[in-house]
Amino acid sequence: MDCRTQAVQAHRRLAYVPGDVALWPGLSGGSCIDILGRLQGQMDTGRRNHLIEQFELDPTKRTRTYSKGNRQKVALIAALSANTDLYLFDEPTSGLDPLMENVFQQCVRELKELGRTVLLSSHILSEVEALCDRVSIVRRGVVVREGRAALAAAVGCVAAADPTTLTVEPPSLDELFLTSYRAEPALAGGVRS
Amino acid sequence: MTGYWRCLVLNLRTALAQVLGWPLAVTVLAASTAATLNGMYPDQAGRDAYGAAYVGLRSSAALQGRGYDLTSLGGILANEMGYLTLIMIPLIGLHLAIKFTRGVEDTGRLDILTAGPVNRLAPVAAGVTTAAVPAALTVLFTTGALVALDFPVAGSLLYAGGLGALMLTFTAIGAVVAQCCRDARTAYVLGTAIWMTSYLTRAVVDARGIDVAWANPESWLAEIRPFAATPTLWPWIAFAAFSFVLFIAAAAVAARRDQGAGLIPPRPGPATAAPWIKTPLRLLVRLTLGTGAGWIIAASLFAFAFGYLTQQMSDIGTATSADQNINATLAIFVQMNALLAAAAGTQLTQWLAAEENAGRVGYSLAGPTSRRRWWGSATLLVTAWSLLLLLCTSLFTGLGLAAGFNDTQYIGRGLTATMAYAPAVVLFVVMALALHAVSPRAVAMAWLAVGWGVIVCLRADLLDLPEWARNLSPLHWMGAVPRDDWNQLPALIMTVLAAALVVAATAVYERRDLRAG
Repeated sequence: MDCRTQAVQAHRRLAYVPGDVALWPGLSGGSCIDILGRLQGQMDTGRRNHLIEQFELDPTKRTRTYSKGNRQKVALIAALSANTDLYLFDEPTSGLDPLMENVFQQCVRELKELGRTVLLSSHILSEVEALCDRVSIVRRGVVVREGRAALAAAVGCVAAADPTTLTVEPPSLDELFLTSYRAEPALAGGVRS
Repeated sequence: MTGYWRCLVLNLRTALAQVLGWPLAVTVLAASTAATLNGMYPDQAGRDAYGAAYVGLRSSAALQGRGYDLTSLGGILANEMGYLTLIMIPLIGLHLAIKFTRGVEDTGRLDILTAGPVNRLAPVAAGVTTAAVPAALTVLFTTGALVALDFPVAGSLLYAGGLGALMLTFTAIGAVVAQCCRDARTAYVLGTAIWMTSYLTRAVVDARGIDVAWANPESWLAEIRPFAATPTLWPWIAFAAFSFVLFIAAAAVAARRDQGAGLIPPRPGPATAAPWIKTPLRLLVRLTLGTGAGWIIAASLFAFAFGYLTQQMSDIGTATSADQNINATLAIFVQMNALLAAAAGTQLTQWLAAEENAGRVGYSLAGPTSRRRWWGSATLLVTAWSLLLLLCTSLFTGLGLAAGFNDTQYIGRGLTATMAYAPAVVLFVVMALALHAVSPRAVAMAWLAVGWGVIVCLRADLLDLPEWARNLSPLHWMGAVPRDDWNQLPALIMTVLAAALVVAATAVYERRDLRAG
């Protein structure tokens, strides 16, 4: 399917959360969710209401009064309540608090169980680690690593840049990191766990 | 105030085009009018004839304000410039005040600025100062230009000073409005409403000769009488006191409110969207409802007021020429209706461009909506709003005429005369849309067409514009309906041209990248 000439057919089968969510400032959050859902065309209203509760969003507030996290929630709820094959998430959890991030991860796992495809673009390695079956590392527009092992390489790339501290979520990534790079004390010293 | 000077320099550096552009535009208009008047009334006899024609004539005062000292070249200049200054100067003042205060806050820049070691109010104070600089420059440039054209020095200074004072007064109004409203868009609407109230009450007061000139800043400009033997002092005191009080009020609100907040807290909205918002077109309708309705109400008021005043303004000459006079006056008003419709269309197109720049168009198009459908909806919507506005103004011009003449037969004349300009309005709107199709940044250029339309409509004869320059305004192609007959050929040409532009714009929009989202 050609995304340029058959954009409409392609878009009918996907739901999208942009990295920088721009909503209509004068409308309420609930209105924005509905409008996005109707433009997408396959919104499940029951699921929408359930998600609003789960994400603890106040849908009556005007979107210009929302924080970044709340705007993100609007986009997430609109996308997650759509019944489609493919979900495109571009940095979906930026601005979300840890509890809400947990809700998001739960939702993605549910989608996975339903057999849907989720494409998650993220800089948060712990999130990638927790959710993804396959990982691709894109550097300057080119896929440099692909597959399950790519995650370990990703941690390696970050560590190679010699960050002063690198906070990662214990235990899995931490262990992975330590087992891979224990031999290099300079790098291991930079890890705070 | 720590950081004030740094913020001021930053503003002046980043918005130099606005700060210099507006004063230059005013000066060019004043100087070109002055130069033409120099040529038209070279001797005292001609000026006396001009003054004599105006004696006891309140008619034109509705549009250009009260005329004083009309036997001097300066008095004639002030009178003839009234057409544009009473509209242009206040709107420039409002625009600048809102742009440099609430406009900055809307973009989130104020947040970053105040995070630095600056006084909390320094960016706002610097913004208001920046907005006031063009008023000062207007005084400077215009005085220089008029003196260079051999106008008396004292009179030129007072006249240019009056323009600056009027601009500054509306800058002060804009500053208060910007502090009270929660976003720049609301502030623009409220500020424009205040200006319109001021302008229309002045029109009625001046046309009827009611003695309340002290009550309205729009009246004070003429009351300065810059070219009289002894110019009046009180308008200056009124300008100064009024602006001072408003600036203090703006400062008081600014000091008390939170960043990003207005005086009225935002009300909660519905938890679900209205069920009728299902398609891109309906979404666009919902989003433009407030702006469109505001334009229509304002323009209808305008149309009614001038329809109503037509009777007084054409009440000269013999009975045989009375109808001709009415038609000549009406031609200006219906052209103003058409220009309002064109301006509304241009503003809505600019809003569309802002939507694209904010990334919301891109987000909407991430759904199964084709570019062509979106663009078609947008084109249809903007054109429909403009034509609806034209229809409403035509009706209200007719109603105003009927009320002024006490004769319901005039309703039809207002309707047909205004609607005759529909093809020109569509062409204006489609031009703006075509610019948007190329790039959202280009839409601002469409205002040049509207501005030129206003100058040709009101000032073409005075500025002695050549025919080709007049023809740059599509309105001129139609002739001056109802004075002239409705000309079918230009109407047809404009319609075909508009249709071709729509097709071309759609093709371009389908192929280009969105600017954001």
